[in-house]
Amino acid sequence: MASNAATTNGSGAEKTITLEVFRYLPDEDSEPRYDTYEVPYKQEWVVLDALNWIKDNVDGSLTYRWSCRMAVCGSCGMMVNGEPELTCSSFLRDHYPNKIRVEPLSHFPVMRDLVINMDDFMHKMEDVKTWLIPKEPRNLEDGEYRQSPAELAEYKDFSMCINCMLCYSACPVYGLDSTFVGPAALALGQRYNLDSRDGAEDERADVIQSDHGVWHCTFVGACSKVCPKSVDPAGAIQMGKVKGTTDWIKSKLLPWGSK
Amino acid sequence: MSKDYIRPMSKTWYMERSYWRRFMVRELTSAFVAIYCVFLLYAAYQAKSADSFSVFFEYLKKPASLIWHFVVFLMVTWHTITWFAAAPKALRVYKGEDRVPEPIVAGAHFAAWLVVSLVVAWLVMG
Amino acid sequence: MTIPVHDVLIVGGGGAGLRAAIAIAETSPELSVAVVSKVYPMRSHTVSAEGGSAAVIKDEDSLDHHCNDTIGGGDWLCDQDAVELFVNEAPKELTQLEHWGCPWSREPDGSVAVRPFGGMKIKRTWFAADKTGFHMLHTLFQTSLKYDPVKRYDEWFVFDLIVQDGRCQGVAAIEQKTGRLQTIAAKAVILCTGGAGRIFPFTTNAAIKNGDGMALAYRAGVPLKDMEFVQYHPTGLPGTGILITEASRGEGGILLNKHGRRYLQDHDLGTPLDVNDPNHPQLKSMELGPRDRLSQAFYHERETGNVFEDAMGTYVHLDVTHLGEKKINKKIPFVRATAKNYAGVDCVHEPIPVRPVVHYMMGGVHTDIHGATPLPGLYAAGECACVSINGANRLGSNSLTELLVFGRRAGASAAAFAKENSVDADAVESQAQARADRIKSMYAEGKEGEGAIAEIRDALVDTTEEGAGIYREQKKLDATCEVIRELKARVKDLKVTDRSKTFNTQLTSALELEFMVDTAEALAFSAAARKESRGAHQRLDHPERDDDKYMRHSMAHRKEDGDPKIDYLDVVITRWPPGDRVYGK
Repeated sequence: MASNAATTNGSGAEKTITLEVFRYLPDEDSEPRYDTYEVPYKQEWVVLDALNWIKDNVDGSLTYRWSCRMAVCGSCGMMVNGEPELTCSSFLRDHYPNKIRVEPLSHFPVMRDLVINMDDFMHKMEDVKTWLIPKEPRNLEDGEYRQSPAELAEYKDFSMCINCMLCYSACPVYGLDSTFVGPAALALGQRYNLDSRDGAEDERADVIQSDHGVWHCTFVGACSKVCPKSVDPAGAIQMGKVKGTTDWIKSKLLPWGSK
Repeated sequence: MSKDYIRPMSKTWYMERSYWRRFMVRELTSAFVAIYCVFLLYAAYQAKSADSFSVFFEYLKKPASLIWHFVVFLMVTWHTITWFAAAPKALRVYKGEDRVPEPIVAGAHFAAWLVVSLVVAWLVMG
Repeated sequence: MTIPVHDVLIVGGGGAGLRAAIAIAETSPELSVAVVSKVYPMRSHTVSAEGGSAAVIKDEDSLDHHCNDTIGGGDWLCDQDAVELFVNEAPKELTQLEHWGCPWSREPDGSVAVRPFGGMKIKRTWFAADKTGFHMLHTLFQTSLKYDPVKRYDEWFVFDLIVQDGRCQGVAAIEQKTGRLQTIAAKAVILCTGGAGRIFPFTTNAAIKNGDGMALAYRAGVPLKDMEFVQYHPTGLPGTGILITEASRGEGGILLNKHGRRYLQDHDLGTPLDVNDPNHPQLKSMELGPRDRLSQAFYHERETGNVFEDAMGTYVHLDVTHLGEKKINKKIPFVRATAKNYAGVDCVHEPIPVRPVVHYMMGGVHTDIHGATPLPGLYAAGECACVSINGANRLGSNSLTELLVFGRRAGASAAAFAKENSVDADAVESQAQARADRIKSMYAEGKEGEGAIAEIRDALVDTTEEGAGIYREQKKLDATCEVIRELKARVKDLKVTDRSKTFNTQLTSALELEFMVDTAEALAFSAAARKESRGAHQRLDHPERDDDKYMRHSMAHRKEDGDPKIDYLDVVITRWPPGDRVYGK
């Protein structure tokens, strides 16, 4: 058991691995550059460990976000050899002995080095109204809403989003046109739409069913591939399209407006 | 005041990642589906009289036509496979609180496809 | 230049901070509320909590049972009036979160499900699979988005509290994106900055947990209470310290030493039942004993050579294989993913290597039951505060509930205070100028200092573990106090080679290291002064509990010369006289 961690030390002491890291300092640089570092190779290390080693031992100015180092806070998403990944769960051993290129998540503006600007997403969450708007208001004294395990299962996957932005980095539609609401925000909207306690699907449709919403998606499906939490935003978006279509057909067939 | 660095997408962005390339191939094959639909409409139009249809039918037998049909067959088949493989995304099926696994939903689509194909084949050949 | 002025300013955007913000926005929408957080709120460490949140909801349970478990678990160092109030408000708060959309796991009839946790007589832990903290934090954050009066300062780093006319009237902060130093004035300030696990080398805590709020309050003259009580969680992954939730034992997981023996039976924690026995796991027994006792049992097993030892260090086995794949996937999916990722173990087929790991600070900024500190205008809630409901050892799954109950209370109290008081923005700004100059001298306009951040941080965490680990003794504690005193001198001149204003994480690391040193100092001195063993504070040289002398809260004050002074405050006892902590009987 635990073969990964157990066989590390001992013989592996002198091994190193090369990291090529994207550097950009807005105060001084007009273009980014790549700095190369030789980092000790340990089988149980992740890319984030290597970055921390560089910051502590070689270059204290290397800048990146991280916090929980257990793949749940969503801070440390970066491009690792061209793929969006959480660096806290991207192991050096999956690349060794080849070098690893680390870059900020693609499709986002770069604030500095590996730090992206994600203001855009924060606004989009508000636009989509990612909060529960109850179908029937309920007093605290009356206790909890009843929700069967099956009703919970309907939206549970979409509630697992950690806002790590990997899906936006995988989505070429967002890369080409950032007015697209995008995978995570749409999945979160769908999360509330599918919640048996919620009654605001129509309100959210202003954004979700707009040209910038689900209908902007060309179903590349890459968002669901890279999602570290199996949220399946592509699925959420296609469900949104199906719902939008059936609502539209109903509105045409049933002119008296029942939905 | 700091300025963010913007990295524009390259003109050949779709060549950069394998899942983007696969997406582009899927999109490309959809063009063949559309073109062949037009072709079928044209065939139906030619069926307005026996004469015009026999002329049209002779054209179909030429090698160029056969190659064209073979290419279209490959493209449309690929499109259908990728389309059905993606279907579980839009059709999430639950049995109680457990989600029916994607391969089963996709498999049902493939099975239905096979049945419909056999029925059509039986109608045409039989 | 005019500075931003708010009615209430909250430092920290985790569970407590967001609950406070929403409480104010709902009850006093005319007030302007600022949430200043060094990370985006959904990155806060609440996100990492796994197992669940306690509140009485089932008919077979009672408020008294919850009080009992909490007070006994805390080794009679909890303030009993605070516990009673907490237990009373807990169900309402968790129901409120349900109304905001939290995806609590459910019973077949659609009501909220509960699971057992360590030290509980009746099971009462609400859970959302094994990602409870994650769901609570995201529910709170997403709910907070709908309130216009809540203004967020995301990725702003607070480095000082501004005390003017004997009241806390604002903070001095850095906007990380631009490096701009900005004073923000407020009629009331609430600290919700979380704990300080990072002052130890081996912790479940995220990188951001450096005791920020504790140090800020301490420097402003507010005492830190019960700082010597540090909770070791019995089951962290060796190497990384990543948490394996107590829910894994609540669902029936067992602990085995290297001989395959359920060793807890040898440490006065009860008699094991077979894992297939319908009564397994027994509440308040064996694997469901309290965290301090389980971590202490590991220490003794290690002393007698009964634990595994290899390149990963020392550890025991947490075995959940008998639960089966289906139950594991449904109840503790995150445990499976985490163990697979970080220990290379699939817990469906193999046991998980685990060892005790620093998890939670029972102590913190001294507050009353309204969240108020002795400094007018300053409030605190969550892990950075000490009310105290956790006493000498926190009952598992009380901390998430605490965020809600005391986050809301602190919000309400701060709002009431803000309505009665004004703020002198000019005086605040001129006072903050001197603080800002010091920051500038650290990097942008000053010379590079001498002290290497990583080296001093390593020295700090090594000495806290050496002196203030699971078992402590006078000689080692005194040595730790001495080392910290030396480090305190060295952090005054830290080496910041990064001269940039944009997102300077080396500068913030330096400021965090200063917080860590102050927090560790209060901890070590408090531990050296408490010459008894109680809950999580175990002294090899004073193995017995001494109620006559020490059934009191320690209070660490910062003296004029910067050193700590420890005095004591009586514990509030109402209906539960001190007794023996009995588990497994």
